[in-house]
Amino acid sequence: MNAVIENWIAPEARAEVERNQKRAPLHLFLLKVAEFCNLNCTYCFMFNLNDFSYQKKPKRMSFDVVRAAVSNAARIARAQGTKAIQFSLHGGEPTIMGQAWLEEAVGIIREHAADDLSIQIYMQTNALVIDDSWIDFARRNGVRIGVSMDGIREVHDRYRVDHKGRGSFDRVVKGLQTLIPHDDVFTGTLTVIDPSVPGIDVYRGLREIGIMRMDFLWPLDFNWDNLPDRFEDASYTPYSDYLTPIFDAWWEEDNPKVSIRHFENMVAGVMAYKSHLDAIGGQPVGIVSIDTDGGIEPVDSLRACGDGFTELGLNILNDPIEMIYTKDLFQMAIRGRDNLCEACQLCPVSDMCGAGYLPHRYRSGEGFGRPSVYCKDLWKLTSHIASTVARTYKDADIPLHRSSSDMIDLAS
Amino acid sequence: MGKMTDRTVAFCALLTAMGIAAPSASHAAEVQSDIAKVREVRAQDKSFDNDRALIEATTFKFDGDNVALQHADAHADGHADGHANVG
Repeated sequence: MNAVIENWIAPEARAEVERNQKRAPLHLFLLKVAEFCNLNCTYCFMFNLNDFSYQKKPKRMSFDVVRAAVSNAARIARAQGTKAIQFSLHGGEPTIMGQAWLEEAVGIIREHAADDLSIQIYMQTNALVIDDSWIDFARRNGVRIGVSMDGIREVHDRYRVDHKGRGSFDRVVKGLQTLIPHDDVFTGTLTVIDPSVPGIDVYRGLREIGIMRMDFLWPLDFNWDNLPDRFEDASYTPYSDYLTPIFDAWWEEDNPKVSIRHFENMVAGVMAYKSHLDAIGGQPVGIVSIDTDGGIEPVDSLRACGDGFTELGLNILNDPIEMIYTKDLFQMAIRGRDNLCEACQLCPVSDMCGAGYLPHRYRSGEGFGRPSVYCKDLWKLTSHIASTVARTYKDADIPLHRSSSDMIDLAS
Repeated sequence: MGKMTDRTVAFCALLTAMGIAAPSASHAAEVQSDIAKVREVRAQDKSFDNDRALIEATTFKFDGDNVALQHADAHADGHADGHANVG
């Protein structure tokens, strides 16, 4: 038995903790290096939705927290038999910490890489300050960079504004144009869906900028406490109507260099592969977030559920990271398909949509025992994808590159 | 046309009971049938094994118990793994 479990976890809880570690080994560690940002995006779940816990935390992570987080991550990875782990320099906005600080933090992380443990490092940025010096930084330190941006000026500047309310589109596009030629550094873009504009326009906007790898995120504003507009109107499916033309264009183009993560995972689901994208919620999610103060928390998007929602009373400076497996909220997050309600268990497309993202299933006082509030949109989109794949597959000519993400066979 | 089963009917009824706009049971059955067709063809597709081997050699893979996450220069050309908010 792992010595940490033996020393820290009550005997009656040990078997469950060990079972859960097998079910969902930790593989992605979000380091919230800065809990502030040089933008003030209106929909940001860190600062502008329902969670205000950032107000009582340090704005910057200390190296003591970095050291403790990384040594815990490396220890649990080895104990769990995990050969590779990932760190994401996340925020807030990580570039605010400056290259010298980030270089030292990356150095601390790299100290723990060894033959038996490979470590990848990512940074998620708004690209506001990205210039050639950041390409050099990324290459020097083996950091890959992803960018949050909303595709076209009309949408981007509505939401992704600075603290004076000014849009950031031009500045972000400049940063992207610096990144895009460097395929070894740039991972792609994340775009929050705004169904008031045609999704295909946003997709074309991204492609015109030169983006080849992207994902679209369903807004975290909505759950069972705050339903999307016209929730009961069966004919109103704005999120599906936004995404379906993008899917069709992507599928029709059939260009393996164009990657849309959400679609790849859904197509893989039709073919009975597993996804391990947490937004497709049927799989256990081995993700942990470390706050600036050292707080150990489950996946950060759950902050959208309420003020202090993800606080577990654990701190990486005092507690071994294994303790997260003893917490109800984390256990819920790693329950995967077992977590789905009866309707989702019966649903023919739940392998593909996984009942959507956890925060969209939440209702205060009740938890996560319902389908996504986007269920009608998920059904419409997913059934369209399933039927499209079936039509393609009828000729036994499935373009296998469409499933080239990280999937394994459900039957294995 | 897919065949309506107790399962598809129950699924639609449960969604409706929760106030969620549900598809018709016949549409649900049709989609179920589409998915089954894809999986059947895929299972017979001999080229699939080779492609899958390639996928597993170049991306993350879990072993049967999800215990070990193996890495072979994963995502050298793609997104970070696992989390919607990490691109």
